[in-house]
Amino acid sequence: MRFTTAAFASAARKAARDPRIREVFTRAGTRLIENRDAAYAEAPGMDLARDAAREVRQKGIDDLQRWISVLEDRLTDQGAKVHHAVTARDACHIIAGILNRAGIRDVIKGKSMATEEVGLNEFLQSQGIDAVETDLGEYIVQLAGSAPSHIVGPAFHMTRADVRAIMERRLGERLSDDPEDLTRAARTVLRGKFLSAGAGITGANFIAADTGTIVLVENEGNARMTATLPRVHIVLAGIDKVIPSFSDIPTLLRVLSRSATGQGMPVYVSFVTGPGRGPLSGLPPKDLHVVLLDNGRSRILADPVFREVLLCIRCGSCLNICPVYRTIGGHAYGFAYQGPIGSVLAPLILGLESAAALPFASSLCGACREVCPVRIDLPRLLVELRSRVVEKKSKRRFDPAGAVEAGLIRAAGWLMETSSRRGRFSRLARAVSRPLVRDGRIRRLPYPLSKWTRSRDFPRPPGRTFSAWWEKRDRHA
Amino acid sequence: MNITFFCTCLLENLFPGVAKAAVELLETFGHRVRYHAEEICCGQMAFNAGYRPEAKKLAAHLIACLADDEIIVTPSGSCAAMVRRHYADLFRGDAAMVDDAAELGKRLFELSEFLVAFGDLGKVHGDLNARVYFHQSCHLTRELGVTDQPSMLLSKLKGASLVGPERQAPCCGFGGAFSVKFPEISSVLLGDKAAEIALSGADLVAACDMGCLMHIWGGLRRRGSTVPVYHLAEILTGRGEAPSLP
Repeated sequence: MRFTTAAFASAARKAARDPRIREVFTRAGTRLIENRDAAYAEAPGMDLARDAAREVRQKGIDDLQRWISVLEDRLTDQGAKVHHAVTARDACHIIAGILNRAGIRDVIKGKSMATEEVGLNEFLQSQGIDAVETDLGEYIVQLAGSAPSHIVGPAFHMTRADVRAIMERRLGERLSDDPEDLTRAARTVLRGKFLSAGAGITGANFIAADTGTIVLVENEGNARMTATLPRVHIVLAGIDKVIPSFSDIPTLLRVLSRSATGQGMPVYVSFVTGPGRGPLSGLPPKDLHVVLLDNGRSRILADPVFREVLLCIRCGSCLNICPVYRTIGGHAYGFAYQGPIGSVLAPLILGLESAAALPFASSLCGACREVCPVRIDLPRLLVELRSRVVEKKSKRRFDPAGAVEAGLIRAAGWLMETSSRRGRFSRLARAVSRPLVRDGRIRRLPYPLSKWTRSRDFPRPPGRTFSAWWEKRDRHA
Repeated sequence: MNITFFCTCLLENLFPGVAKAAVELLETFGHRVRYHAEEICCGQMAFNAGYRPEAKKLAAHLIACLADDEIIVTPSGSCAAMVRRHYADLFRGDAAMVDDAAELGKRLFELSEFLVAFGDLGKVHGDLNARVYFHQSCHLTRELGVTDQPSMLLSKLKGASLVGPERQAPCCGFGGAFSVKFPEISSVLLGDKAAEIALSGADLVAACDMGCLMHIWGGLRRRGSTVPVYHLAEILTGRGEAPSLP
């Protein structure tokens, strides 16, 4: 499996020790949140706008099957083809099938996290189909043979120098550090691909069921060109992208770019309604294929707690503000989605076993909930996932680490049960810790408490509880 | 007023001096303080670690313990937030417990929130003559909405000035069990906090949560900083006593 969520704990530890990762992601995150805050402050009623956005998204997921059905009818009427991909593998096979039947070997792509989620590019490559990313960040990441580190800015982990080095190596020309020079070089290559590709594959930010409109939001214009230039347009979108009505779109656009990048509006918003072209344009009619991806979303929808995560509009704010994401960067998560939203989606999509550590890598500070444009209670979802992990572990017969942890929690509960027991333990702890104390502080504790003292001193056990003091005071009163 | 003091397990077992200061503070303000030694824990630690049954047991016990108390005050933002913001989730599906929990939440206050809500600002007196870095704990500010009360109280002490960022600073990195499950990340955030404190030129650090404070204190001392670290209750008495954390 290409996703490395199972190795998250060690990847996160390693990343936390790399100050360059922290520098890059803190700088990017801070800048984006500052922009976001400014964009929210300059427009009136943004609090209400978030409430409205949540309401619209809630309306969508509350009756999702119905909207999908409405959408399917609408798209079919318009001459588009609708496909349902239950699994990631299905999505890859369906898309490869469309391309094979049309004899297409060269494909261009607009940025789509859904295609990352299903591993489309690798699959197409294995089928001898070349898929070139046209979003500049995604293109650079593709050249580097790496993976996106942020759902909105895939190349955040790269410095200008990194970009130049990769582009020089892969394009075989001398380039400067100047962003315009680098962009020009990419554009030259990509223009050729745009004009020669047999098909364009995009995601969708939203799909309006009543009009069958695919909404593409971007700053570069590559998604629009990907969708319009080639004769075949394939859209891969999670079923949670379906919204009830075209009239819901402005409510969502009002918060999306402000949250993502601090822009009042994205540079390009494209509405693709039906295949388009045909007799009047003099061009051959397009083939429009919409592949609706489940990959666990129906299961998530059925869960009364986790369905809230389907409200997400993929703005990336939660990543930008997260102190953990800023410290470890995006690659440590090892998944198509990172940060707080990634920590919830990974176990839900890939399974608890594959991503058990992710929900625990949070101090539950709540900053993500505070910035989410649709007010998803991410900390609550993380804690819920923790309880599902613990529950699952408890059913396993052999799990020493889990047994120790559960034992400690129960022992603590027992020890604290009465004031006399607490008093006795307090005196014991004071006595036992005496040899470890220097200048009134403890510098080193044995494993596993050494995880604390590696970087912090620990206070000396007081030897007496508050209850003991209170009782004495009460008696003398 | 008649107040019941909710000590919290952390203060009962590790920082009784802070609890003592909080009780004495409430008494200085003319309140009569009661305490139930049967109290154990709000269940936050177990809940956040994913141990719902254990957390429920502790929470149910706390609700029963405090059932007959009119006003309850606790010197912990995160414990107050656990009761007021998370008990409904913890007991979901059990309407009676959700009701009892909600009912308890209406009677339970965090210390600084209580002191300001009941107009005790005028009773704060004494000298401080120090620059204070007040650490705004995540649960205190984001879940309880207690953003101004601590600074309102501190500013009543003579010579007290608040230093540090105007806006909510990032998490200190404690996060309960997170501090030992992901100590590498926790200590990076701690380092940032320590740097922020040093940059602010603070003479002392204060907060309303001992969890954050023991983590910040532990990091400061490890870095050789001798800046005193206080719980708010220890400062507001204005007596200039030494803090619990040396």
